Amino acid sequence: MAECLAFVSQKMSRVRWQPVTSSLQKPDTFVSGSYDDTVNNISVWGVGHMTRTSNQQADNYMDDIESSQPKKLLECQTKGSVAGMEYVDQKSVAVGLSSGTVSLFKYNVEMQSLAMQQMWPTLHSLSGVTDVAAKNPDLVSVGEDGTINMMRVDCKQPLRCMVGVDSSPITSVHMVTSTEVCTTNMAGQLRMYDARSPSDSPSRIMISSETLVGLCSVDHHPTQGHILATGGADGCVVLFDARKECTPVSKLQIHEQDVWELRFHKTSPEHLFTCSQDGTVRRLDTTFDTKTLSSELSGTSPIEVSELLPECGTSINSLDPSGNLLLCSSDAEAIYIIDNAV
Amino acid sequence: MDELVEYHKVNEMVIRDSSTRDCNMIACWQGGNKIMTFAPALPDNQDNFRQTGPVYLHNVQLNTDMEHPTSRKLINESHMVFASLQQMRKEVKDKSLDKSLLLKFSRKYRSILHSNFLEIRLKLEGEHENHEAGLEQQMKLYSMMELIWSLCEILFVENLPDGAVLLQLVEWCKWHFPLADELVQECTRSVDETPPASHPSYWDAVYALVLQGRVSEARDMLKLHPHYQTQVYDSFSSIDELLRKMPLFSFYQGQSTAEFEMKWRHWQDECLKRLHDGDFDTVIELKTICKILCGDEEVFHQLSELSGSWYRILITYLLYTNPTINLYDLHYHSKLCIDMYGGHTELSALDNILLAAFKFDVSQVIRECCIHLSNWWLPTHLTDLIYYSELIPNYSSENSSDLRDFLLVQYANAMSGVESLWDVVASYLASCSTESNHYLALYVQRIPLSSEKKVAKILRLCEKYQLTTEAQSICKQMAMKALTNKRLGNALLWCIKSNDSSFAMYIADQMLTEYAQTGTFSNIDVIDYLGPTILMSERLTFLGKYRDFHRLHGEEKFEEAGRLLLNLLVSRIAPMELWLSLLMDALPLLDKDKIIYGVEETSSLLACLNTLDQQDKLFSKLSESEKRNHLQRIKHLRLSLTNNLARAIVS
Repeated sequence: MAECLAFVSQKMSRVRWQPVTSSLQKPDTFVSGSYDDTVNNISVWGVGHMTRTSNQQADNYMDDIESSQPKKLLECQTKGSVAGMEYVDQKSVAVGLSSGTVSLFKYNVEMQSLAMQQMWPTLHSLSGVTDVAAKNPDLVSVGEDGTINMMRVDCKQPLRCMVGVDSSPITSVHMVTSTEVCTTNMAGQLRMYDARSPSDSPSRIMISSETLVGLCSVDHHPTQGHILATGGADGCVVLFDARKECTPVSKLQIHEQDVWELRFHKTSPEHLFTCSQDGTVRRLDTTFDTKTLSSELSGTSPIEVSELLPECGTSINSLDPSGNLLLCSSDAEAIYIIDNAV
Repeated sequence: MDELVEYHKVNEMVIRDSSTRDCNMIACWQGGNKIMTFAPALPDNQDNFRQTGPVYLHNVQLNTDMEHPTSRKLINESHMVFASLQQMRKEVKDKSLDKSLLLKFSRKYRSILHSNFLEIRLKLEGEHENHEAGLEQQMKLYSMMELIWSLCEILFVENLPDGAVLLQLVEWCKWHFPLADELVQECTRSVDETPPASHPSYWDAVYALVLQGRVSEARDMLKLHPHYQTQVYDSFSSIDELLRKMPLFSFYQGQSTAEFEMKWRHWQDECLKRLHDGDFDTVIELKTICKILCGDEEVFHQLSELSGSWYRILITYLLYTNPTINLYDLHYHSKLCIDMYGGHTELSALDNILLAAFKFDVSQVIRECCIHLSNWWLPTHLTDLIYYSELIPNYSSENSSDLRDFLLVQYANAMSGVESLWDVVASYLASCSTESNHYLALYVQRIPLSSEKKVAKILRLCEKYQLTTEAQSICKQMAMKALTNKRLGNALLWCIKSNDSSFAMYIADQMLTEYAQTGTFSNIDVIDYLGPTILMSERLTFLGKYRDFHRLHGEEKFEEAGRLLLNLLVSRIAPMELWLSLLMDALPLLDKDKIIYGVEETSSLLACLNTLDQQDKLFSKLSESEKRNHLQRIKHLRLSLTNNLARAIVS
């Protein structure tokens, strides 16, 4: 496992690989969004890969390190901190800002252009958007004000505004299908909403624990859509089965502190990546078979946890696996690219 | 290098404020890089204060180089090193750290400086003319910091034995002043057009190499001279032999100083002999080289141009006169070299810093750095690494920790102007040896609570350093903020987090008031999933139970609902103000075909109604129409309850 570390002079709240068209292609472009700075922006980065073959000499090694460092290709200022970011398609990114605005940015590296294509201004009050989710052409944004907004890429007006449906701040959102949306909140609930239903109330509320520990992030299993993984503020990864009752299938203490983000690997779904406030990045390997998972509560663990980034002292805010590369960003204004993460 | 001193960098700014037109501005440091300024109302001749309209406060912010992307890189990268050093100290407790370990840390710091230097240079090369202003200055600053740091590393951290120290210093010169390499490159670049030997800088290049003690490279250069012949033994071969035979101290191979000194003396005697024999009289340049080898003072004067500065000539001079010099004797020779460059009056800020280092006066080095460098980075980290680690036995004075604390606070203060560096600032403040919690507590209160996520991070910080009162206060602030935004659910969550039962009761009351007014609960989804936390406050418990009642009623489980309602009343858990509403809730239960309340239960309900009827205090608070309403309801209730009692008795 090789890792590459770059200091980028900004705290990044979100990093995302540009989606690859085939599984053979290595991801080489990613976007990042900064937060908590006087001037925040989103940036597009290019990564050169180590192309060194075994017969090449070690003196090229320095050049390789140099070329595998991410290079900033494009940059665009945003009004407020970036809180959520997700690719809608190959070249456009939905960005949720602390000003409550959701914007759609389109970029083209060859043309050296990065510009806002569409904007839905001030959808959220208070501290703005906390997360966005996308499933082309649908977008969802959530905020601390407990509001969920649904948008479509080519529509200027949001399709649906569910104002204040959650009385606690919503921390993250994920689209399971284009009509099914799940959200997590500070009260430790995982809620499912159905876009087709006329009512604003959730179709299902699942509770992670009785002690009101907040949930920070959610993702769904790429092949078994009913399996939802959430990351808690206490460092637990809580797995739910959306078909079954409201209690978690399994609860695993993976980290010491808040799990800021967790993502399943898109093409090898037996890997779940998690990053945390305690400064570690870990990988969970299991088949995510609900039967074995629930029996795990009573004893032997079929889950293997491996350390991808040993404690670096500062919080890791975001991560994104693609191919065998894992991208992470930390509060020390650093971006890590971990090779052979799978 | 004086441009690095900050005094001349005066920024001017006009503040547009009509009230300041003819009076003095008053300014006050806010800490960090912020100034608050305003124009006070001044008394006129009659001692009356003129009313000039509103007085505006202006928040002026200086743009320090902390904002610069490269500085941010330095700050964050070095913070990681700093943090791991502190961690290491904590692990070994009172024992001082191993010297080799400290050397590793020192090198880490130095490599950060160097990588920043390289990055700026790359930027300067990339964007030819329109690069950012001050970039060049930044580059100079980094190269200077690196120079100082590496010298301090050699002298203070490595603490090498006699002889070896000079070898390191020679390396130091080679690394920081690549003049010789530049000259050699210049000479050899155009081999086809002009042979290197006829290049005007050819001899300068050879001298520079010899001055830096790089004899084999100097020999390679000499071989390029057309007069150099291997077959004939002439002056070229003679100097080549001398250069080849120059003994080099190989400390790491176990050579003793005495052995080396003997060899050295023999070799230098040979040099002197050949010089006096006139071996090199035919080629004057070779004579100069031989003079260097003999350690001739005069020749160093001549070549002072090539050396550039007193400290470089000092090292060269020592290399050829006193190669096994002791670390502590270095500065005895500095005066001679300084005089070559115009004496003490000509010394720049950098010279003074380096001189202090050669004098082994750490506190002086730090003092000079504080005065002359535009940031606190170097003195802070240097103090922490060298001074505080008690590497220098003579200087382990009591106030070393005071000095370190002072510098840490200064450095943290300089960074606090950049909002997003709050966690770095906190980490440096927390590393202070005394009063760290006090500083930290003061700082934590000043971090803007911009989002829930950031607050979560700040609370983690409080948890790490046991700042319980600050954490409580943050939770309270968040709860208040949520409350003013009418987000009762969120406010309640914050109360629960800080375990603030009285505030939780207040919020529960707010919810109940809202219910009493509108008949519906908003933000109630939190209450439904509170779990055991609901026992935190009596009012919260009541609210939860009352919600349960509504749910049971909705699910048509009337008997259970009725029992719960009765319990709420009898156990006095419900506030008196709501008794009437609760009793009214019982009304539909009384109308059911099946008798829900038996004799005993109905009597209890009647007793409650009587108690309520006697509450004059509560009654007197109501308005006229409410009073009427109240009485009517009681009457209605009494009737229904007696009816129910009758039914219960009969059945």
